[in-house]
Amino acid sequence: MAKHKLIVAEFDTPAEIVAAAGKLQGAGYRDYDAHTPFPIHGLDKAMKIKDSRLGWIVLAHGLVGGLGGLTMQWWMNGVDYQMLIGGKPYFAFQAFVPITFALTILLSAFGTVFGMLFLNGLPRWSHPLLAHPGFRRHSDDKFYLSVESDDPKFDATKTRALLEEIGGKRVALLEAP
Amino acid sequence: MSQINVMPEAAVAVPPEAPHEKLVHGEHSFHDVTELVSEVTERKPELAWKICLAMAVSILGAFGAAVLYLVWSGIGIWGLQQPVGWAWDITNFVFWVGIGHAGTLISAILFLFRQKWRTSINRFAEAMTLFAVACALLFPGIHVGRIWMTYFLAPLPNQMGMWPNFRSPLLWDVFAVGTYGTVSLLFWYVGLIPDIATLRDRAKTRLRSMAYGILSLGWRGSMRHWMNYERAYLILAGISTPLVLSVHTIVSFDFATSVIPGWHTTIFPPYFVAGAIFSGFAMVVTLMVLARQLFGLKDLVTLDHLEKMNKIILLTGTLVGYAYAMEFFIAWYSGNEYERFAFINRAFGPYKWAYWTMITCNVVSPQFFWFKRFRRSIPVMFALSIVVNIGMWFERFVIIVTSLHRDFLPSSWGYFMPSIWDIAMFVGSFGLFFTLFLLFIRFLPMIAISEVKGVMPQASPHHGHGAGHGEDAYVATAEAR
Amino acid sequence: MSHHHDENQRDPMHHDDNHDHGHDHGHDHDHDHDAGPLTPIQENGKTYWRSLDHVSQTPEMQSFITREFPEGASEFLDPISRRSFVSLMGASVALAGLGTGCVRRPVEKIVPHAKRPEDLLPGLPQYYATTFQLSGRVTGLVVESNDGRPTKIEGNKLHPASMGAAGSLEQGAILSLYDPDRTVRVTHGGAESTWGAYDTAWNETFGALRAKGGKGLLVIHEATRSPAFAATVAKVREALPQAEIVEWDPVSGDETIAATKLAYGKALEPVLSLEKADTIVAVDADILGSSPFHLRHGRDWAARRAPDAPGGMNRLWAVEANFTVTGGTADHRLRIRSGDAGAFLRALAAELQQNGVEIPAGIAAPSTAFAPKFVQTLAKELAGKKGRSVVAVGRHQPAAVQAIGFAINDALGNVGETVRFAPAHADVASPVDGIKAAAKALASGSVDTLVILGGNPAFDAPADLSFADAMAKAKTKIHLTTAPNETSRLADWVLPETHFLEEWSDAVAADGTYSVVQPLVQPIWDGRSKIELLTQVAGAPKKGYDVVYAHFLAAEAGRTELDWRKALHDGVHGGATFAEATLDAGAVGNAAGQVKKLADASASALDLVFLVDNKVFDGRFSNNGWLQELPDSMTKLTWTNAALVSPATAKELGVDTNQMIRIEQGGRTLDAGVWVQPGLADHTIAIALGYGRKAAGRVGENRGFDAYALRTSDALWTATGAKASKIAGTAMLPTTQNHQSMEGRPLVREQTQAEYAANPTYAKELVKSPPLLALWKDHEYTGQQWGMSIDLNACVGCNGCMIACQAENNIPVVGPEQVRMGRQMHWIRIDRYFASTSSDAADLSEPEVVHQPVSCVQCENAPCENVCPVAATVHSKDGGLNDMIYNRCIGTRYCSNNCPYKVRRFNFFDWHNKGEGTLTDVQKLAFNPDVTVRTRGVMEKCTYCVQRINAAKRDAKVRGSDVVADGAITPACAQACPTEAIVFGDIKDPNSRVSKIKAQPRNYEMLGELNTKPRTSYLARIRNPNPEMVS
Repeated sequence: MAKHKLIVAEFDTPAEIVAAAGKLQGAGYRDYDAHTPFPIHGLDKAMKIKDSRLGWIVLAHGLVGGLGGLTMQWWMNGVDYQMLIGGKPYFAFQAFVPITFALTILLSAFGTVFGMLFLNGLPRWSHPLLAHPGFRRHSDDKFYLSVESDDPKFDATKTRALLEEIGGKRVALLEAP
Repeated sequence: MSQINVMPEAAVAVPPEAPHEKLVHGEHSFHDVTELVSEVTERKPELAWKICLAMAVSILGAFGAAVLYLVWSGIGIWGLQQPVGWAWDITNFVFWVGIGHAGTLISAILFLFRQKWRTSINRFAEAMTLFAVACALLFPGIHVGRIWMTYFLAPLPNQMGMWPNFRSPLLWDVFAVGTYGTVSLLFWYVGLIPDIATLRDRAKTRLRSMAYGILSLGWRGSMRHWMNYERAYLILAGISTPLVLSVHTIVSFDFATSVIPGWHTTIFPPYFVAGAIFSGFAMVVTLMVLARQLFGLKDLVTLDHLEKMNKIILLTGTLVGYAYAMEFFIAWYSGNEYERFAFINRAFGPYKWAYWTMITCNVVSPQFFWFKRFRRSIPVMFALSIVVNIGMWFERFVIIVTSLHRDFLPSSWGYFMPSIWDIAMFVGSFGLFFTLFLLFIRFLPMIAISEVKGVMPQASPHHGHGAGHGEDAYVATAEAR
Repeated sequence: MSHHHDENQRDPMHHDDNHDHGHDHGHDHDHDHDAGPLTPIQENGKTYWRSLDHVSQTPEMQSFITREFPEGASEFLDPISRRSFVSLMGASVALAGLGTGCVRRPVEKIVPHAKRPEDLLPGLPQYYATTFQLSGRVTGLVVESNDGRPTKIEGNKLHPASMGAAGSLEQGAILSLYDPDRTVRVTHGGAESTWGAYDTAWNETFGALRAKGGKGLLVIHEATRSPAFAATVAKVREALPQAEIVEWDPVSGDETIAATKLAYGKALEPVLSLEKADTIVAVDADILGSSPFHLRHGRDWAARRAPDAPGGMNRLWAVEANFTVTGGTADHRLRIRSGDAGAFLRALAAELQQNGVEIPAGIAAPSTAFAPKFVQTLAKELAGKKGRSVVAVGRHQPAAVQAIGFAINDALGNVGETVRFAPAHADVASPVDGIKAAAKALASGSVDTLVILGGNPAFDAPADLSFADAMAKAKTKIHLTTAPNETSRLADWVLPETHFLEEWSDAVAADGTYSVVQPLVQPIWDGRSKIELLTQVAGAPKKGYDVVYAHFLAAEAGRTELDWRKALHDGVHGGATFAEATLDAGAVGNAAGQVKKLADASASALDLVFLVDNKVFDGRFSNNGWLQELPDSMTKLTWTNAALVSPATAKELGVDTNQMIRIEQGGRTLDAGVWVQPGLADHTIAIALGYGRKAAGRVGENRGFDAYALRTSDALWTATGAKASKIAGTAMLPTTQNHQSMEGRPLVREQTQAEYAANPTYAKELVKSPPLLALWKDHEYTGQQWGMSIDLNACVGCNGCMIACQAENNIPVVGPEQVRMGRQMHWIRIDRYFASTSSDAADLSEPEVVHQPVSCVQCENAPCENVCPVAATVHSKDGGLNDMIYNRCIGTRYCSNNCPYKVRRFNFFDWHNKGEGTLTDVQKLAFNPDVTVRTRGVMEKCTYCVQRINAAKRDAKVRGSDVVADGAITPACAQACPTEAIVFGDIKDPNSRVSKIKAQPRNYEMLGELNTKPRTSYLARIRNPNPEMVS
């Protein structure tokens, strides 16, 4: 099959890229993305990005942490090695609350961070965009739209034309090495 | 642009309560922000920084030596005794944990409350949190009699087939503070990813681009990524908020769940948390005042920010003062002779000097912040922030030592005096703290670049056009043709 | 406990061919822990170990050696430790043999039994009866021996002076057996020598002496109550009639015999029967503390001390200068000057006359100088207690004063009832005459040969005799001593003396009971006993055993080998013997006439009172770490003595505790640290003897202040007209208790007998607390559950339990600096609180004192357990003890912080290898093998002697029962207690002794309001004041 390609266009302001993204979406493009120095509110709507599924991942982890933590304490102190301590019962749940709580938080936090990276397909240390010398300003003060060649509507010339038409500057075609 | 232009420099004088307060002063584009922050990590280290680092590292070295000697000969080298089984070791632990509260608090709670002014200080505060927690974790580690056996604390299968005692507040501590440290680290790192990407994209040397390249995990500012990223940040803030409140609560359980008069007190959790915020914010002020002078970040870290911090210091300081008073009231009201004695002994016993130092530093000194003049005076806030942390160290010392040295049986009363090794360990921990901190401000963006950009007026899509422009030749385009 | 009297057991003790049997046991002990028995094969002089590799390679063996004898292998170059090492450490020697390629002769000495004696079970302790003599005090003992190592000294139930109890000195003495600074070999002029060389030298000397009929020979020996020794002395007098033989003992020397000769015309020993006395008056007499028979006195006194005791509760009146434990337990106490005891007695006699008691003429002398109400009330009470009271006068008081005491007892009809007289062991003249004569003879240069049997006259002889200088004039100076001391330094020949656990001897108790001193172990350092050396002086060297055995048979017609065996087994033979005594009223009357009240003392003319120390005694225990670290009953000082002054006098002198002062007495001066002691007589400086040793060994040197420097032959116990002036410097006296007041807390709970009668449950109900509820159902304890009760009414604070615990539980010594930091390790301590009796709470001139033994109370809801993160302290389900798991402990000290009773002790350092606590290989032999030696960094505390509990359970199981009989378990503290204040047992069994005691109305739980549910409870203290004194 053909080499993976994408076309990048640069924009100067949040307003420009929001408008452009809207048009691109309107033109029926789906496999495209915007690259900005900071999240731009409104851009997600323009691109019709679905709500993040991260919350569910975190919930799952949180439950594992909480239940796992409580179970661990119950089994270790209450079942596996019963020790008579301070006249308390072997399963002194009142005393097990703090650690259960801490483990809930800990696992949730892991879920959040690694879940986010997973959803974003990170870490990914090499990407055609990163090879593009101009693109470095996406983390400074420029705004980019990139259209993937996997998009059914992708056409080297038409897409480039469209991007220039919607105000994209320095439109460039990148090829994965 | 226009709006920035019409913004008068006098903005500094605008009261922070004013509705349209500006978070970034001066005439700055996105690029300027990038420049301002990143440049600090790129320029040649100034002499001042080198000297500071040299000092910090040598103190750290002394600390290491002291710890080695401690492990070699036993904790008898400290002033500890019967009945005072804990003194400076745990005092230092609680002191550092307390300081370690500001960061996450600022990042999490202020974030949830949509306090945008936090953006310029949160990175900084989070870093401070991490390093403080690192110092804190050292002390429970080295204060035990058989350091080489501390792994018994972890619920690991061992040759005895035993498990730790999950009823022990000390074990709660291990989990709470451990979790807190880990979550703070994650929170901090997540915030750093886009900014490290910025450094990566600005890197001039191969080493920098490699290092930052790896650390930024290949971040490319994708809007789809930003969506998950923002959600993650929100959730982290959400779970960190109860966490940050729980940590010092649990630390306070070390004392509150005991039977010792002066420890066995239900007011401890809120009182400890307030104290933690108090000392944490004070430490942030101390460090930020220095940093913004040193690195010319006055426009990003403005007097308004500092004043807000000072207000919180005033608030929490007063809360703490209330707690001190309430302890006495309850001791009297309880009618428990041991309880009463514990507090009378605190204020008028052999350690009264420590008690009154605490009161002066923690309750009296913050009252200056009722006056705007002082709230906005750099020298005053710098001095007070240091006084407050001295006071908070004494608070922990007073709670721990004065309660232990005279408990139930007068026959077993004693008087604790620190040895040079107690002092060495305390001072030494600052060596660790400042070493880490100096390295941080040198090699990582100390202000959340992307977040600051996000709160700049021109960040809004509805903002007038014409920010950013540039006519650099576009090589790639040519090639592509 | 079982006494073994099997032949196999006895023989090794006294047959030469079984040389060094003690060491064999030591060896046994070693390999019990590792491999099977080692069987050596003798081959051309070398010894090979058949199971050598087995011994050396088993991991147990390796760890065992590294654990218990770490320095072992490395110390081979140092001859001393090498000797101790080689001769004592069996298994490790085998290794050393490996290491050095050849196994030398000593190894033969440690060959284990070729045949194991039938009833010697390796690993099981054995108990032998013996007798301890201390300056004429005789206490029957039972000594525990673990595989040949004596490890624990306990009282002998059959001995009248012990009744099964043992004091701190008796028990502490075992550490001196293993003193690393003992005399380990014969030295001549400081150079290493041998017994052979000495014997040759002596034979020449002896030849010369015999030619002169012994002229020029001076023998000085310690006080002893040994008939065999006395008989040997007689033999010396036969052989060398011209020889001078004197007894010198700095603290035994008392006037009692002189007093009986004055009052009854013959040498007698008064014996008190306190259990028969309703009223006891102690006039400058520490009958419950330091006086001979104090253990017995305690037992008898306690028998009548309970408020509901059969025969009613007794009442104790103390009249004294120093604040003694007797004064501390007294119902009424009057402070007088030591020198006014006689005047007080005459005043009392006068009041007795008023109450119709017939006092012989010349004795009564009315005086209002002594709290008239006190004297009157006392007299009235005594008058009503004829035959049921005791007036005890201090043995250090002048003969005339004691004689007045006898006369009063006589007048009250107490003689024959509560006071009886036994024939004195010997007719000793005034205690100083001997040493005076000796010093004179030495000074005149008429002494060619000076033989000093034990003791330390160069240090403790009266200062005015300047004995050390005089001693230098003797041509040949021979000193037999267990440890080199100030006297040995001046001697030509220094000879190793046997410790009493290494020698044969005998002794007669004050009441005439005969007991045997038998060795537990062969002399570790090849020493000789006093008797053995004396036989040589008599010209016919004998083994101690032969002398004692022969004397035993000869002493009484018809005694047989069997009696001997029985005596060895029981430790005693025959009982008390009492003599008729009729008072020579006239003589006493005349003598009494000389007894006058002293002119008042003042801040510029102070009384100086010399005390017998209950730790280092006369100085002989200076190198004994246990005793040095033992806090004094009243001052709680350790490692030092001090110039004790009353609060008022301190104010007058402008000094406070720790201030250095210079004491001046008859041109002699001493600089000492001040300790302000409540309850001391005003204008009195009391200072304990025996401190400030200059040559005492690694532990004992330069501790405290040498009071002998001020002590002269004319004022052995009390001197007047002393001056004290403040000088620069502070003393930093180490004490284990910094706070003296109970702060009005309900810790020790007290009532008078009247209050008790009205409201017996007062103590139990004193503390009102909200209902003690738990968040959960309390644990159901099943089976036997251990508990303890401590009767504060019986405890006199004698410290016996502390040393018992230290010996039983291998408790380390930490040294004065660490004590100053509050790091002492005692598992049981005795809290001592003063309470003011005056309206001004700060005025402690006439304080009441209470003693409260505190060790881990084994809480059921133990606060320490909850907080330990690693579960290193947990509750045992069987027995319900609060156990420490040493190898689990990581040392957070959280448990100690959270212990309301502060009974937990932390190993801040490796005490056994630090400072005064450092152990040599020899000292390690004193360890109790049943108790773990704790390492650095772990917490420890009282276990209720769990090793004894388990031993008892094991024995019960062997007998096929799961239930341990009541009384089968006695913790070390309870065992040592003379007053039986501590009782231990099963609290689940309502019929056990402890349950019955806990059921008493005055039983209460200290800090029970914390819902800790302590297993140790206390019985409230009941005072029994005379109602007329109260109103």
